[in-house]
Amino acid sequence: MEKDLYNDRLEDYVKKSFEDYEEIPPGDMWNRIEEVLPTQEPVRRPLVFLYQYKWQIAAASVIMLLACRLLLVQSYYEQQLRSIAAQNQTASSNKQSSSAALSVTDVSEVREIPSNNTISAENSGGSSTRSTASSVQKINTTNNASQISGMVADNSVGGLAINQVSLPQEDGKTVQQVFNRQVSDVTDFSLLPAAVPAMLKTSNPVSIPSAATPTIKPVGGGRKWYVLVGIAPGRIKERQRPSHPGGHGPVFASRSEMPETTTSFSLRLGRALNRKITVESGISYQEMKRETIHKPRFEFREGQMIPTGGTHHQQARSFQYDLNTYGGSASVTLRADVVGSNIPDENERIEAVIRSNENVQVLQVPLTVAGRIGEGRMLGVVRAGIVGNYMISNNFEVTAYQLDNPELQLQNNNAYTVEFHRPRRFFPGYQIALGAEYRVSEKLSVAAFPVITGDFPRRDNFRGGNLPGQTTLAFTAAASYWF
Amino acid sequence: MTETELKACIRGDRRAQKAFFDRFRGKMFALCLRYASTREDAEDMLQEGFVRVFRDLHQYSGAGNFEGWVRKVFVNTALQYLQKQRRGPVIVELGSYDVATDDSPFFGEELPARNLIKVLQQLPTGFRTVFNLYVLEGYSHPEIAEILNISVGTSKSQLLRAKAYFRSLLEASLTT
Repeated sequence: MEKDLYNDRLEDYVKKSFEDYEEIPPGDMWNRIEEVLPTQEPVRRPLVFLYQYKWQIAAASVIMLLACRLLLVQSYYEQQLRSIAAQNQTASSNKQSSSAALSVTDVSEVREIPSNNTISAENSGGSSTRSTASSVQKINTTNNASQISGMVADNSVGGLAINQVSLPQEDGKTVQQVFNRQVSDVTDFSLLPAAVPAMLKTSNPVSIPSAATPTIKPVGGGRKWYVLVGIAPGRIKERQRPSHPGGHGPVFASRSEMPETTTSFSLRLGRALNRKITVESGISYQEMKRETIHKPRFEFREGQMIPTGGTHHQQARSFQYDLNTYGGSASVTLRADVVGSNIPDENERIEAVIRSNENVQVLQVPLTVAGRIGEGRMLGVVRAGIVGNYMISNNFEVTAYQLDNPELQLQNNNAYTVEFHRPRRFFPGYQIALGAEYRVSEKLSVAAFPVITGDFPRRDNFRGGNLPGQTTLAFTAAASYWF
Repeated sequence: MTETELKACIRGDRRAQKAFFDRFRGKMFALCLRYASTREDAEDMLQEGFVRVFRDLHQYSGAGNFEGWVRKVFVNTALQYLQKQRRGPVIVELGSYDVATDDSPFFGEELPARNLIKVLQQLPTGFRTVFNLYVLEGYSHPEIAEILNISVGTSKSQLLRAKAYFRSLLEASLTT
């Protein structure tokens, strides 16, 4: 040390002393820093993101469940109709066949099997199925003739398919027992003579005449065009802008938004490409309302001095805060005078509150493809496509403002100004929807579906970076008229 | 710091920012203490420095030493803080202080860094700033002149006086 100093090596001595030296700051330092850090950009967590739409999701889920329930009920009754039609067809042919069989065989026993018995078999496609024999079936057996005839099953739902089976029989009694067992419970066919399963597999299924199928036309009844009218109330979620360099305003600002509501009215013209796919386009009018409270925190030195021409030109300052608007941004400048003789310290913090209202009208031109899933009256519908957004107007107004520093007072006649920066009015987006459609009649169908509409990222030419995108989750109720 | 950690900080991930803070808080607070005249001022510098680092982190190009970049941000923050605090240049008039000469007696005792900081904080702001920039940050006189908006000659003379004054304060502290 002594040598260092006397040899004018003070620099080395100081350097060595401070080399790797660390001093731990106060324990609350991180909290102080965190307090003034810009609002954290939300981490993309799907579940958290979905949570904010919990009510819409719950409503959509209930509707989807009801739609599925309706679909199942409808499917059940359709199946019943088909089954009845098939039974009618089978009964008539069975009557003829039975007569013929009785005439050529030595009938020793005729048994009637109750209609609720179940036969399990491997159908012609090789998969295991269950078939309900809802009609009265007759199994005619004879010990001597070694024949089985008259076993007929309905294959309308993919079950057993046997027509007028007559088998050569070595031991008729054994066969009789096997069949008794088979129809009384679900059995395997391994107990049958080897020829029977082979017959089951190769026999032709009973075909249901198309004339017997109930007339249930697809949605639109084969019509090609439709007009859709819809209304979609919803909520907006704005993707927050990341912090940007070189911008105006304070280092720290918090922002809280009231629930943002939007209502969209749609008129679309659609054309069916086939039974499943339609293409539709049209026009939608969307109105959005948003109320936001901004709380920027300035330091006095961040206020730009306003030249007043007098001796107190340093006592008037303007504080500028940039905020996001739909389709652009706005700079709100608050102008304040120093009250009294006490000038705030340069690093004195000044809290400001700016409350704003935004009323936006947007015209949308969607081009979507809709795919329909299912048959009958109730269909699942998936819609996806692109949307062109044109901002008709954006009425932004500052409804309240204040500075909380007692040494500062907002200027009476010139308290604030707003400067807009709107890069453009047109910006593209996308739309995705998943819902259900129910055909009321051949010409009319109604639909209900949650729809997500979002904007593609677009450049902020004023401040750099991307403008915050809007994502709207709405619930659409719509009606379509087919022609 | 890994690229992933930096990206998380830029994104605003609080946990990543906290980890960043924990990593640099000790060194940066020591730096702030050297520039500030009081511990409270150093705390303010530290707070503002981290806020600026997180705000400007995306500007780090990846070239050069990352800690050096962070240090530079803190030095700039400290200088701006001092400048704002004084509402004027950080340079003081020569002759305003009674400085010791190079042949002052020396008592040959070492001081820990913590005490050395206290001595450093007794320096006038202008002296302390030039001393820090030249001796501890390694800036040259032309660079200091540009940073502080002074002439090279002023920078040199400020350093000379600062060193002499620092030495006298050091010796005084050792005698007490």
